[in-house]
Amino acid sequence: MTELSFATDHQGERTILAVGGEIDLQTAGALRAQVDELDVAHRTLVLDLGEVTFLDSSGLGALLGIKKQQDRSGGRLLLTRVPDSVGRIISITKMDQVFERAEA
Amino acid sequence: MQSSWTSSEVGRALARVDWSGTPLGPPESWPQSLKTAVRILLSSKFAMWMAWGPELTFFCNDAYRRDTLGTKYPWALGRPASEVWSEIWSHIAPRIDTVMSTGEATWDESLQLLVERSGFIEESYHTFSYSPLADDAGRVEGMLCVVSEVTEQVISTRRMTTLRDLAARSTGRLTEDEAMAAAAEQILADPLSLPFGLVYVLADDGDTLVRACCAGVPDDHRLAPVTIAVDDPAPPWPVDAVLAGRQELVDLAGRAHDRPSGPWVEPPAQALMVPLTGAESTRPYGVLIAGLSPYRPVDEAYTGFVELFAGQLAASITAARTFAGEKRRAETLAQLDQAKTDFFTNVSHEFRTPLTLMLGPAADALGDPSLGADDVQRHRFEIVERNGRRLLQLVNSLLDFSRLEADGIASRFEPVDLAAVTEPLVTMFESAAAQAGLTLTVDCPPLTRDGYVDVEHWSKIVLNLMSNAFKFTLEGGITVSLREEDDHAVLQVSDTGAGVPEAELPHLFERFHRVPGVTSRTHEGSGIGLALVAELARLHGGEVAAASVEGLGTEMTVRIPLGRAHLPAGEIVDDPARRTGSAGPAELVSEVWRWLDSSPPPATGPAVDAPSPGEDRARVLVVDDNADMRAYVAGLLADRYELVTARDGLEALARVEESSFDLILTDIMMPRLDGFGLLQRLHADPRTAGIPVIMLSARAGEEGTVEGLEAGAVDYLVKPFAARELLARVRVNLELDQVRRVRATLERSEALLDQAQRLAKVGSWEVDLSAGTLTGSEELLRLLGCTREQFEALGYPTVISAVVNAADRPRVDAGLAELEVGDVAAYEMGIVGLDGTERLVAVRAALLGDDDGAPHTLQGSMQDVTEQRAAQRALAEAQARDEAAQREHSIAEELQRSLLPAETFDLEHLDVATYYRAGVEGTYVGGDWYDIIELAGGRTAFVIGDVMGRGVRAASVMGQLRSAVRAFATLDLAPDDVMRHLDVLVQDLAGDQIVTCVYAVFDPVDETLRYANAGHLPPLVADPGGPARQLTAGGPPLGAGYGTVPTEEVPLATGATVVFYTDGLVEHRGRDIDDGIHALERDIDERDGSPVVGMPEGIVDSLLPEGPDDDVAILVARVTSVVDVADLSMERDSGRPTVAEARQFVTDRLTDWQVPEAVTRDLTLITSELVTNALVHGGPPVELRLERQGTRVVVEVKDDAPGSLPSSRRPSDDDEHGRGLQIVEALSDEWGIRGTDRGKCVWSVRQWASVPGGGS
Repeated sequence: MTELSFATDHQGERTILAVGGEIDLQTAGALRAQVDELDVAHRTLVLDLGEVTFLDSSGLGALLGIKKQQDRSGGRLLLTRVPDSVGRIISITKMDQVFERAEA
Repeated sequence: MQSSWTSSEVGRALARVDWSGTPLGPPESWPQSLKTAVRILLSSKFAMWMAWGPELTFFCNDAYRRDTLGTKYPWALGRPASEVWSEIWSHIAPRIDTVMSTGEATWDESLQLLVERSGFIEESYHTFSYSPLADDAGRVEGMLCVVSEVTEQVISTRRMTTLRDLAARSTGRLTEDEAMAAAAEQILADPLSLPFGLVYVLADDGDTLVRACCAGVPDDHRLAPVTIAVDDPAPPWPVDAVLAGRQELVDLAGRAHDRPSGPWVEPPAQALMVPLTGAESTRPYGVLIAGLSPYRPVDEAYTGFVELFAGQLAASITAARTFAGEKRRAETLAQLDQAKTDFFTNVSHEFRTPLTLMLGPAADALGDPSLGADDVQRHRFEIVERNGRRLLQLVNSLLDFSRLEADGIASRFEPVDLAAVTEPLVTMFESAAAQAGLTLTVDCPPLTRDGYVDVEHWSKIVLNLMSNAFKFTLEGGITVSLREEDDHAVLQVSDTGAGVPEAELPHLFERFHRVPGVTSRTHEGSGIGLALVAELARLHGGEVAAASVEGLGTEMTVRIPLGRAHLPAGEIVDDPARRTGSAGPAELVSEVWRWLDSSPPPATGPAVDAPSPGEDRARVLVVDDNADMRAYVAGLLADRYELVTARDGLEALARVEESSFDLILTDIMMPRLDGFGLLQRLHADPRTAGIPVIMLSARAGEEGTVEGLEAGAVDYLVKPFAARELLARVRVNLELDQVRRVRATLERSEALLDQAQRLAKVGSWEVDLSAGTLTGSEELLRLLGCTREQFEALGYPTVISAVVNAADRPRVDAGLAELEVGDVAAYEMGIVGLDGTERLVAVRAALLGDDDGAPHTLQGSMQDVTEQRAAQRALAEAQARDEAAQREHSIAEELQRSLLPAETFDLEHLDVATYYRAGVEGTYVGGDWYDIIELAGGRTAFVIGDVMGRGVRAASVMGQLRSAVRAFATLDLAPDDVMRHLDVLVQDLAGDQIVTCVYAVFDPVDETLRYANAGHLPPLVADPGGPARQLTAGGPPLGAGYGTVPTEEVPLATGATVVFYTDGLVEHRGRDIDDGIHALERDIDERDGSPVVGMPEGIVDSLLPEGPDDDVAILVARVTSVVDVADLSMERDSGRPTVAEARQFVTDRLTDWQVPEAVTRDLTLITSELVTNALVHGGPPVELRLERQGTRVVVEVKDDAPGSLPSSRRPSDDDEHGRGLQIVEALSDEWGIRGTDRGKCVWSVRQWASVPGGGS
């Protein structure tokens, strides 16, 4: 539970990264590193959060960092399969408008 | 002049003396004064002698010759006095010298003189005076002695003194040794009568006489050996004849060299041997050997004295033996009582485990929704539940203990498949284990061969070990295995319970031993179970061992050899109906529970109603209406006594009519004629009045015990009783009765009556039957309160009807009518004197015949024994009452003390203090009780109740209710359900007993108190700062059988106090009970905020300043502020996953605390944010603390960063940080930050609404 799990799937323009585990201060870095490694700066990155069991403000910060990085480089970030707990944090922090959702 | 001598015989002898050969010369030449003196001497009827002249020539008269001179006559006449009384001259010469030289007379009273006048030297006593005789010239020439012999008076006075002193020394309660010492003292005090004395008493074997007293003889003297064998061919004393009941006069002269010397110069020449006899009919039990004075003739007076001495001694020995017997009995009874008390104390607690186990399945069935309300099975289960409980409580104590005590367990070993027998026994605990949250693992693979076991015993072994493990295991599980090892079957029961300290292991299998201070499901136990296991294992040739590690668990191992070689052949059953586990489970369960907690009575043997013709066996009649009880008691006694049984009092009377009995054992409650009625009828009939009756009373504390003794029962036994106790009481009472009879006979014996008549005032009477005339002594007239004229006018037999009580008259008439010539009758009767005085008198009557043997005279004595009997009776009654009251009180006190829970409690969510005092010091204990029971989910049940009444009965009802409440509580029944069950139980247990009770359960999760009140005083609840208020809701008392008691619910928040109490606190003489409750409310208000500890005592002090009149029980509980706390410290360098670790910790704890899942999720997130902040801004070490109070949880995170307040700013949308506190604020009900000594602490609080009934 302390390590995140990743699975990558390339579908045309989209790269789908499925993340599993708990995203917090101490795992956020791993997520950022994984995204960097995928080299999707100009592509559409779809983050599948279906297996994320926990996410706090640090995790949210990581998501926002990825989003900003994509925006800057002409790519996109879409979120898919957002669990209720994650959705709740996004809504508490009024970030509903910031993240785009992809239909599953 | 000489002619005047011839008028007497001595005078004629004097005339024949050759006076010329004496210094006096011929009488014609005597001076006138001498002649005159001799004439006076000869003519006197008083005994006198005189002496005259230089040689003091001797003269005496007829009286002196007859009384004193004896065979010295006529030789002495005319001889010198010094020659005549040579043997006593040394005594009398100084006196004669005095008279002759001074002319003054001497006077000696009762001077002992040893005179030789009958062919032997004789002890004699004389009172005499020597006076001077003057010659014609006035010179003293002679002396005259006037003497009176007082030997008879002196000797008889001395003997009476000895007898009187012996009697006086023997009064009071002497032991046999003290009685002997008193005899020795009196022998030594009167050596003139008894130069020496020896007492020999038959030893218990009857073959040896043992010296019990040795006075006047050196300890090592040949005639005083320490023992004399009865069959000694050449005994030092002819004891044979004496033991046959005869007196023996033994001549000691032939053994000159070894005669013990007395005070006399000569040793005793003879000794008189007198049998010591308890009763005329039985063999003497001892011998008195009295040395006889050589200086006294052995006449009837002398031997009579020795006989009286022996009689007095025998009486005190008998009394001493009786007293010793009674003392032994008292001690035996005290020991038995102690054992019974221990039993009472322990066993009442043992009920809980079996109760729980039995009620578990029954309650499961009753709670099964598929079982309809009107289903006949439900009704049956209810009966099972109710009666199972009764069965355990009633039968249990009576039989199991008695069987353990009796040591006589019969076995029936049969070949069985042990695995098949064992497994179902273990699985019976499955439902109980599941209910208790324990795992139960059974591993019983089939063994390669059969084991020979007694299936009942084996079941007890397994069930006791299981019950024990179950009792001491609060979490974890129990593992049972059965294996084959070295041709042994090895049963192991291991648990994960509290374990046993090593020092306790060796004592584990001792009876009544209990390991102190061990955590267990119950605080109680009887200490019998493991002792029973050890005993039963031994019966199988096996052994039991225990291994334990404190805190980890205990492993009990029973090893029994397989095969049959080690078992007694007589107890092996080879071809039984082969038993396996196939017996129906229900049947097995009920059978097995019977085995576990009790055992059936041993087989009573064939036909107790047809006793075998016993030789000398005492005949005992057992009266009981309960056939099982009758058979049980009869079975216990059948070995030793000849037994007859009867079903009730009337049948018993019929049996008594048919034949005689030595003892009757009777129940009290019986149809047709009860025990008291039977006793009354037996006493009314003189033929049966003497049969000792032991009553069996149903319950301790029953008024019947005292009543029974007052009614005349010789003893009583309280059910349940141990077999051994019954046997002891029966034996003691049979023996006592024999002693009583022996003593009565002794008192009537002729010798003692003679003595009594001399020592005490006794009236005597005589009837001349032919003339019909009546004479009586003064004392008799005083007793009858009439004048001589009245007495003689009444005549015989009218006098009997005039004075004898109507009730005694038929008996007296019949007794006198049956009297034959030569017989003596003795009886006691009540009389009413003519002056109206009532007395109890002892009468002896003897019928004398004339020469032809026809009745002629009826004579006898009458002694006033009123005070004597009254004192005896009063003493016995007082002792009996005292004993019974003492016994009851100590049982009740023990019982109650053992039933109340410990005085200190350690509860997680509550501060609790309790108080119990019995009312007035020394009175009976009452029926108040309280209890505190820990339930699952951190909940706590409180019980307070009051059984109306006092004493053992109330205390025992209370004890059973307490056990029952504990069982129901363990089953987690709702308060109204508990009350419903209790109501049924009270009706069953206590008849018309009324019980009030409150059962309340505090739930710390939703902070509520759910309670049901059956007629009890309202509990009080006080919130912090707020006034106390009464919880008035409730229903009728228990046992009334009407109405139900609803469950009520009130909030009981942190800091709130609840007070339960019994009426003794508020009900006070001269005060309305409501005033009392209001006073209690005010008192509690005043104590707002004061600690709970000491509060009950303070309440009692202020409400009852003079102390409680009645029982008072108080239970105060306050909900404590902090409920649950958990801490986690995250160190530097503890690895990366610190935040995840903190989240996991929070999730685990809150789940444990049964915090709702959504709240847990939010708090986990809050924690994650706060810990992240602490790690980012402060750095490790970070401390996390969780606190729960009811429906409220606080999370605190402390770090060592300075206390700057992070602001909950709203970050811009593209700000990657700063959203943590935003989340905390959104999810917390409250949050904040405060400085600490090393940094800061950020806290967050979440609350939630309680869910009714939730949390369990």
